[in-house]
Amino acid sequence: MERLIMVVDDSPTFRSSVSFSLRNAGYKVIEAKDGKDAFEKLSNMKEEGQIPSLIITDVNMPRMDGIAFTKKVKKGDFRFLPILVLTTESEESMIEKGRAAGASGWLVKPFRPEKFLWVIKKLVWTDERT
Amino acid sequence: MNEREETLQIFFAETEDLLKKSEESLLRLEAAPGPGSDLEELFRAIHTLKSGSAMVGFNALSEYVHIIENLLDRIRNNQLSVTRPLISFLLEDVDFIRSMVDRHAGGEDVDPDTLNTRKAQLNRFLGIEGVSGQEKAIEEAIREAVPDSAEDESWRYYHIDLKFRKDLFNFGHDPLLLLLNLTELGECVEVVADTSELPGYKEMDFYKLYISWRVILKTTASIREVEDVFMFVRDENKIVIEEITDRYREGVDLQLGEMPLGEALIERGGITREDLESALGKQKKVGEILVDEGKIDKEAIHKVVSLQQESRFVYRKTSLRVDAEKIDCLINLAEEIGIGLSRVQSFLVGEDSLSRDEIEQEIKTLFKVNREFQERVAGVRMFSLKGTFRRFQRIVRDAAYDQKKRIKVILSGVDTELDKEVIEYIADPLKHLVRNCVDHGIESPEERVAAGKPAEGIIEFKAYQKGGKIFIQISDDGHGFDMEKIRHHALEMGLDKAGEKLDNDTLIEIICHPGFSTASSVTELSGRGVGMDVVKTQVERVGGSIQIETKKGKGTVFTLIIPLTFTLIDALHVRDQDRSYLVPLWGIMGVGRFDAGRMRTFGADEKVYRFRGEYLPLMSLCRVYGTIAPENDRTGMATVFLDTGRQKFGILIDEVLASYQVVVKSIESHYRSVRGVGGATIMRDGSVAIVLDLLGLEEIFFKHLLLGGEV
Repeated sequence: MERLIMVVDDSPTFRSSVSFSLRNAGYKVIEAKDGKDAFEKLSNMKEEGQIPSLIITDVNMPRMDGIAFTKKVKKGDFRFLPILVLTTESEESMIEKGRAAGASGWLVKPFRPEKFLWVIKKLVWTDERT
Repeated sequence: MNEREETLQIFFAETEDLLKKSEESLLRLEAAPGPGSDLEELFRAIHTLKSGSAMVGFNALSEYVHIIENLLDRIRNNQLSVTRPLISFLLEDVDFIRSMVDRHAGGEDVDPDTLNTRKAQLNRFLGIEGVSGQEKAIEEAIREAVPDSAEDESWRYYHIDLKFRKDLFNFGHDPLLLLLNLTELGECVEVVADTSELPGYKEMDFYKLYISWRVILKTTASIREVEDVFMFVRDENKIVIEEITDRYREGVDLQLGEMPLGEALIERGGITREDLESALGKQKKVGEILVDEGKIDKEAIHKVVSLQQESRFVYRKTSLRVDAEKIDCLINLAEEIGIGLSRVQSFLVGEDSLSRDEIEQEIKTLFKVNREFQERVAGVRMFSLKGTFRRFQRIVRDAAYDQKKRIKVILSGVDTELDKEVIEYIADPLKHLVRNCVDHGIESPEERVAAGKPAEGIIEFKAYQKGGKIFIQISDDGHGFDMEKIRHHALEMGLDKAGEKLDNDTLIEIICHPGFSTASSVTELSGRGVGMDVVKTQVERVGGSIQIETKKGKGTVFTLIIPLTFTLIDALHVRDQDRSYLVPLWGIMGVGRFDAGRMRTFGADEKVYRFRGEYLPLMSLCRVYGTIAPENDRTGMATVFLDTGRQKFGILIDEVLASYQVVVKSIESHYRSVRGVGGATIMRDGSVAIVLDLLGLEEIFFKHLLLGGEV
């Protein structure tokens, strides 16, 4: 079964390149452009009976930021889903905030694809291991 | 168009958009310099550009934009002011970045000279001369982004303790996944799941984690790589990773590990001793270099080096390092025994005609030598508590620092020696007690001052030998146990001791109950009420016991009473009801014939007996051990008077025989642990004698815990 990962970021470049690395590594990807969009998409997915294996979210986004989004997910049916928060060096304090909100992991941008996939593997089951 | 190209197209479009926004922000910033929404917008745009360019692999661009981001960050923090030349330069930068992107798009590289000139200029704005520092930092950041590959290919062993918080699942983590990630580094040689916390089916919350794990991992990975597996869960869970390659023998040449590198190279690497010596001649030691540079004085280095040596010595876990002198002594004694034996033999086969007295003398000497031999062999296993205590000093220091407490550590009796195995058994329980003292014992400096105490708390480690036991005390001068809270918890847990006075044993029973904790806040250190029960079992496993004394506002003293060794003791052989018992000599104050005139009876059946001006409680051994005795006939019986260090009392027996040195065999491994029985030994006539456990006996007696019948 293909694992589905949701990527939430307001930068199209970022979403696209992250999705590219993920697809290359054999994951299915669903993109969202901010927390609000992501939450709506999650709700739809729930109705369709789809469950993502991981959510990757940026912190700094318009409409609903990554921390608020994480908090919201942690209150709903998807609360056991791992959430990877992406921060930057200038926003290190966000790691703490993300953790307090219930995030499972964090990664500081920019990063190399190798490191990214290495982190993903810590949070998502892959098929060869099931 | 493939996906890579598609991403690039998106990147170009976004970059153009971001650069336009940057231009606008810069112009507005020129009109109104300083931190504010324009600067934030600019910062965000540049920041996004940096991540974007790194994602599509335009590293030169990403590095360059990174410097701009640093610069903007300085403006944000008011470390740098916005000047006209700066704005002009940044506006030029927008064009420069655009040209870089265009060149990238065309598959060309940026002209390195232009790039370096601009970088140098940017750094001048930043106040940094040259670019080497920046580049280095970036290189390092990139290098760090990829996990190390193993430096060398030899096997390492790690002991990994995983105690997760119960709500781990809420954070989206899966312990099984973590364990599987571990197996990607190597082989889990041992995985033990601790399910003791698992509640009954009805009480179980399926969204909670009750299991903890202990893993031994065999891998070539560095400790950092192992730690990285738990990078997201380390801070909030109890995860202890320790490299134990040294103690794990399998497949490891211990000797090679013990050698200095140079020696090992001679042995394995094919260099000659001359090579090594000439190389060593050239090289200065780190300490010498530091002294030469005036960074530290010689004395300080000596101090650390000697501490290092001490710690290495004490903590060599797998192998015993014994002084050659000790071994020589053992060899001499062994030889003496050999000589003595052959003399006795020569007499027995009639080669020598010795008198009976001479023979007796010979055998006496033989016994003496043998005894010394046994003692010295036992001594080989004895280690001082120095290393253990020093480690606690460190734990206290670190913990105090974390919790912003001020604690002074006092050590005494560090040279007290204990069997190496016993030390290993009790090290963890002690550690737990230490942590308890720091976490729950010592108050914060403010609280202490408010209570009229010095701001600095004191934790004292003390060890001493008394009788056949080692006493290890850990005391703090904190606020003591909150008895009300303990009572409350005891009630809650159904331990229903609330009505009674809380004496030592009841207190221990309560706080050593699994799941007990009075701490309102739980810290990283002493955990969540698991532990005291483990402490108690661990101490009992080596035949020891715990005492707790606590005074409100004054502090708490934990005392561990540990037997000196398991094996060899001096004991008095006594007989009672045709059974043989051995009474450890260390507890005996005196022996006498039973004299009914010295006995007084109180109440129903409380008997005391006068001994050296004191009235001591008296009990019949036969009644303690449940062998039936004729009630009235006590004439001809003997009494042995005992002092355990806590209590004095007498026991009534039929007959005192002789004293021996005996080897105590545990009965636990064959039967089970019995209160009041320290073990058994085989007497020279082949019969079995029970070795009394005096502390256990005292408990039975003073707490009326009967094995059969009443005392």
